[in-house]
Amino acid sequence: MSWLVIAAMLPGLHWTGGLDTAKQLTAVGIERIFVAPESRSAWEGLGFSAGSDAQLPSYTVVAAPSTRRERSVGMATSTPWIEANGWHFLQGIDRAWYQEVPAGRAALAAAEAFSYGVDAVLDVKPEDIASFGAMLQFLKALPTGEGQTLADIGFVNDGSPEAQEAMKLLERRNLLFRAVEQPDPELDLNIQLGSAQFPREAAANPHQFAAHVREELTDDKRLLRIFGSNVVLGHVTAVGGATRVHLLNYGPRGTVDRLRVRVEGAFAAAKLASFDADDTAVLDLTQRDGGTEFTVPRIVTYAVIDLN
Amino acid sequence: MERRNFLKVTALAASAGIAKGQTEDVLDYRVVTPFARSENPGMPGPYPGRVVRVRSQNCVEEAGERIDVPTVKQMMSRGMSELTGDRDHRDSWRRFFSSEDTVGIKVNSSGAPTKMNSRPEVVAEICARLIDAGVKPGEIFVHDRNTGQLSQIHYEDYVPAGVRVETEVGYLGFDPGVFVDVNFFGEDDTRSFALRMATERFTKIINVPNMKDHSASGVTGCLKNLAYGEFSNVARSHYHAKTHTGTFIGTLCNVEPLRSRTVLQVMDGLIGVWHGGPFSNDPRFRFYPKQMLFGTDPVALDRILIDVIDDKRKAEGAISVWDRSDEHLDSQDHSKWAKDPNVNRFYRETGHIEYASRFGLGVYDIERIDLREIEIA
Repeated sequence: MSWLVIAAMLPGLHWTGGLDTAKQLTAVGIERIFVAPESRSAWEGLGFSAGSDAQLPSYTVVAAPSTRRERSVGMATSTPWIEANGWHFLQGIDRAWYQEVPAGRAALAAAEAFSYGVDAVLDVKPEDIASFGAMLQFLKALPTGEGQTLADIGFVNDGSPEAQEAMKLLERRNLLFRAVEQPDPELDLNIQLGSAQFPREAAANPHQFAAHVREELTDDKRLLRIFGSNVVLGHVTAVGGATRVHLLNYGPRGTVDRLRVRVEGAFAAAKLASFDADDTAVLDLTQRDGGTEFTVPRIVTYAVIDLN
Repeated sequence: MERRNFLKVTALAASAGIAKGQTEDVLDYRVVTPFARSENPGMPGPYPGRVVRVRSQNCVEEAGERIDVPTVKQMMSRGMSELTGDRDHRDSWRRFFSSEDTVGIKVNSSGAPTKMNSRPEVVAEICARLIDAGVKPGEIFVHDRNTGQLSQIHYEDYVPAGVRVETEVGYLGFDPGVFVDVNFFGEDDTRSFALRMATERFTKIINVPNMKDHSASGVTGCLKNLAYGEFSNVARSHYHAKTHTGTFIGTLCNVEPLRSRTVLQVMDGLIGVWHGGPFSNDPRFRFYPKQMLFGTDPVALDRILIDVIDDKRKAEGAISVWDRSDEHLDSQDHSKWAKDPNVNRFYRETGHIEYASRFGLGVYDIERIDLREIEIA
């Protein structure tokens, strides 16, 4: 069972600018920074929570969220590959360093780490400082509490390269899993590479492997389904008595409109918080076949839906 | 209408006969809709198997692709009168539409902006006839799913004042309660939702397709235009060389309230595409059938369309719309298909029309189709 402390720590900024840039950071709401050891106390004197960037090598370096197209066959539609870190974080990484975040991706990276309860530090391009700060303010305003990741699948993590690739694909397909040491009988499906159900050689093709996992689980049992986009990844946590759905838009083309979401279980109310979008409520909340469905009007980067 | 929630699972047996060597995998389509079928659904409507073809050599000037509006008006009048048997074409329109109706005109804009779409002159004339029948201009919606394509045509410059031109982006979006759920190729987004304006606003729909070849479905006429234009997330059916257009198109057309509300089919065949469709990127593959088809039976109109496209392809020395040979297939390099009419990009599913007939959407057997020919000098 994986417990998170949601919003215990907002993502921090790795900053090399001089003290004269303090107003710029304060203006956009950035309070937590990592700076050169010799300037740390000076920054603290200006009201910042300043850590030493000498600590950063102890953080796990992770890739910036991104997408890329891999066109291989003649097709009318194609699903881009998404570089995301949920699979990584679910293996127990609790401190992450986004070292190279391309322009336009800092807010998403911050939201990604925060949604998994990971203490993250980011190197942010100057043009992204404002959006990064805005995301911090958004995250700060979310209701907080201890949380538990919810999943359909237990993935027995043997640390092998095949297991890493398989977990990446599970995340990409919104097949919610936990990395476990032993099969968890409370979950609908457990995956142990090398078992009769999931032979190790089957994981050599991660795409087919993920498809097989989905078949074994069946869509009807899935905790979360997303309709209307192939670039939004979601996961679910239990936070302070509510079930929280996290939706992260990795798409390169900006907003995703009218995303339909299905969550297993019956919920009477849904509260939406969507970064950079004006919407405050989900639409068309209905219960169908053992699940609750609703529409998120717009997702720019990150949306959170608390279900009660 | 009272919206009851119920679930209906529809899948036709795969054992029925398959047209001309088509292969077919009928998937487990899950159809969800709260709408019940009307007693007399619009498809196939009051004239199953009847197709009126009106030709005129004057309807389009080929060099400039200029439409002769007076001729189009005449074609429309004669076609509708012949379809219903009314002497006065206004009576024909009044059989279908009244002042109580909100009418959606489902155009085809997938050839935009290169002139291969439901011609604005034709659409404008349909709007005028509807207004004449008593429909308020503000209750007429020229529409399609794809905003990027529809917006390039500028129907608003042609249609009477007050007529609305809309897509899901600007108006109501998709209906989360009306969808078809199916997993074609392992995609995670398995639902295709109906346009909400069609489920919540329209009382009637007029379907206005073109005469076009289609790389995946063989040809694209009434059925394809309606199915893939009124639902979301449809391109996923033709993702690999073997597509699922063969069964998906008919399944979508059979969904309520689309089936009950689509009461008239007007196929714009003034200009056509015999290869490379549904787009028209290469003008070499455009041609001029100079005709319009009228009916209520989408299967019968599409059956006639097959011959129009296939005859033209034969005349040009190209492989048939029924050709599904590996010899002519190249699904990897689209540039070959785009340039060469003897290359297929997908296994063509021209059999989608026969498949749709199994839902009772219309008459496929050419011997049972009552084709009425009219030539306007």
